[in-house]
Amino acid sequence: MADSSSSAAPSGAGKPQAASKPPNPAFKMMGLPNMRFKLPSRNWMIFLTITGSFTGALIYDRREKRRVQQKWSELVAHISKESLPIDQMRRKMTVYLAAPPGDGLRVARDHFKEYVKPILVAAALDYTVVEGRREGDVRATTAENIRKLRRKAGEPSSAAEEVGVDAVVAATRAHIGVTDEPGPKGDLVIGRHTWKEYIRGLHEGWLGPLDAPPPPPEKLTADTSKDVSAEKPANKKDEIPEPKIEGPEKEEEKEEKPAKPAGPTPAYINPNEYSSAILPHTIPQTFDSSTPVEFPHLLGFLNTPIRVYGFLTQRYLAEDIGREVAALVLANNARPYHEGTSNIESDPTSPSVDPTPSPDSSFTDLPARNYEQQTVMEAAESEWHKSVHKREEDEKEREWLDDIVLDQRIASRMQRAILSPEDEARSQRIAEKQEYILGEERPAPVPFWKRMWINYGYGESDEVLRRKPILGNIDGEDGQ
Amino acid sequence: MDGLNASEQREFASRMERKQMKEFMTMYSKMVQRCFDDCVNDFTTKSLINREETCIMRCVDKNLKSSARLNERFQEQNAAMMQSGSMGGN
Amino acid sequence: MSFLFGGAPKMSSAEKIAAAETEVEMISDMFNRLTESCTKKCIPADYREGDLNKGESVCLDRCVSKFFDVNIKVSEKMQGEANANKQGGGMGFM
Repeated sequence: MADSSSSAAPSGAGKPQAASKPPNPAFKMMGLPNMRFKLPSRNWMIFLTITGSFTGALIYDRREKRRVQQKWSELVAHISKESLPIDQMRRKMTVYLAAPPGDGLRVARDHFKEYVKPILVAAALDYTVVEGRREGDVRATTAENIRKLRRKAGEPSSAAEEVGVDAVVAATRAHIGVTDEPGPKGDLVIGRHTWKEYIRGLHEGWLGPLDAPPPPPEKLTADTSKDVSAEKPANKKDEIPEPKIEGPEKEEEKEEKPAKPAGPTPAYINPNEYSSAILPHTIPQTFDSSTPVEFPHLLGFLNTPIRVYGFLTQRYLAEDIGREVAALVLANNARPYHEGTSNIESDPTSPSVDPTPSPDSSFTDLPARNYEQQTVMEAAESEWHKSVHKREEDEKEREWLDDIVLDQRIASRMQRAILSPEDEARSQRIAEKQEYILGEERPAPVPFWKRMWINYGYGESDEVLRRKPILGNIDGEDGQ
Repeated sequence: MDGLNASEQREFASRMERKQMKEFMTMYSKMVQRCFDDCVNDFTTKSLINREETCIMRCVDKNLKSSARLNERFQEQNAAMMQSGSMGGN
Repeated sequence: MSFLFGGAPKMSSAEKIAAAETEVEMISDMFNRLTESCTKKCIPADYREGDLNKGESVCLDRCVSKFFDVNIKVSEKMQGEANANKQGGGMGFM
């Protein structure tokens, strides 16, 4: 090393230095220079400590996250090995994804792909995604899907049937004789904002009318419009007197419309009309399980430390989300949502007793927290960007800002998927590597050198070896 | 396929039948080749061993079932494409 | 894509049959290629059991859907190129 050779010359002048360090006989034997073990300088130490600890925390977190996701995937992987008759379509789960407040849809999609999708893929589930870019999209799509279901089940409606690709595929399937796999489907809702829209859409779909109510006149500067819009909530179901008043305003509306971008279709029913709406006869006794999945999404420069903390602790998020999704996938156990503020029972089988406040009072009595569906993931609302909380003047419905209003008839039909205790215990054992996918043995771990030899050298993996032709002893080469 | 009268349709149907026969033979020979490639690799005996026999049975089963399933999906997607093609107007 | 040359009004019956036959041939050729590719990609060669399991079934369904998507996209792109060549004047890629 140049250092030692250059220090050799001045060390002739600084003899006490050579005397203080005794020569290492082992080094002398090997002909190596007498290197002193030295720590790096103070500045280097600071740098290495900071980068090393950050990198270490990051790597540890990602390894643990991968391990946790492996655990939940292996818990459900046995489902993908079951056989499926050819005339059945695999169970189709519905995933509700909406762009978080202040950001775009891509963030939500990435969150879904990173935390939820691996488990769905491990169980070979088919899923359809209901996406929402603007604030009311998911609500509008959910309500429309429910209305389509109701119409197909036979309720009378005057809406025109539009024939899309899905309808053609469904018709062909009916013609060939392909059915859906028996069993519950499921709803997976990602994020508190999506959850609010989902609940609203659920109520709108089941309690609202099948035909669109007449659009209310827009708020123009004319005084007549204010009177008309004041009558709007009362006259929502009363179609006849409205069109006459709306006539002169309609032309002005049409000029306004090309200027404004179209928003999601307005709701067919208001929350304060829930209790007066009739429950349709096509509604099932209980809905399929719905699971809310948390979607932490923080924006802002001053939130950077919190975001860095979240960046380094993704393993906890993966664990929680994995548990929820695995519960929904396995569909072994479902409990109805809790009702009542003080009666949070832990008994999964019996439904909780609803205390005296009726849904009407729970709407006016803010913040009433009678239903579990209202409190789920509530903390996420404080994380939203402040621009969301600003109400504009046009009084459009703000699904994200309004409180969740639940009708008891709909809320009592909702279910939540939970992991049965046996599955929990099994997941623990899988994490400790005592168990593997149901019905299979854990494959023997391949040592690192062997993996390298197989991938980059001339090695052959087990699979390839199994398929090699067995020729036996052809030319007596084994001395036989 | 529209605008064929009765005699043309009969001619068409007989051609289709011959074609289907040929298709079936092709599919059969392809399946034999694939199952042989995948299943049989012990050449120390002249006849098939037990493991290979069961493998061949499963191979045929699986290939037939997958062909049927693909046929179903193909029909659906074809219908959808025809419909969207006629609506898209190309 | 009923008749390949855009609906000529009067065709002899042999031509009509030939055209219909070509169309059916194209479709069945597409189906054969689809089967070949999808079984190669989706069904591992282990043959552990004679039934399709759920993973393979889902894979086959999605494979068909993607195959059709690829078909549409390729035909659109080639049509776009053909139009561009026609507008450019003269023979394109022949």
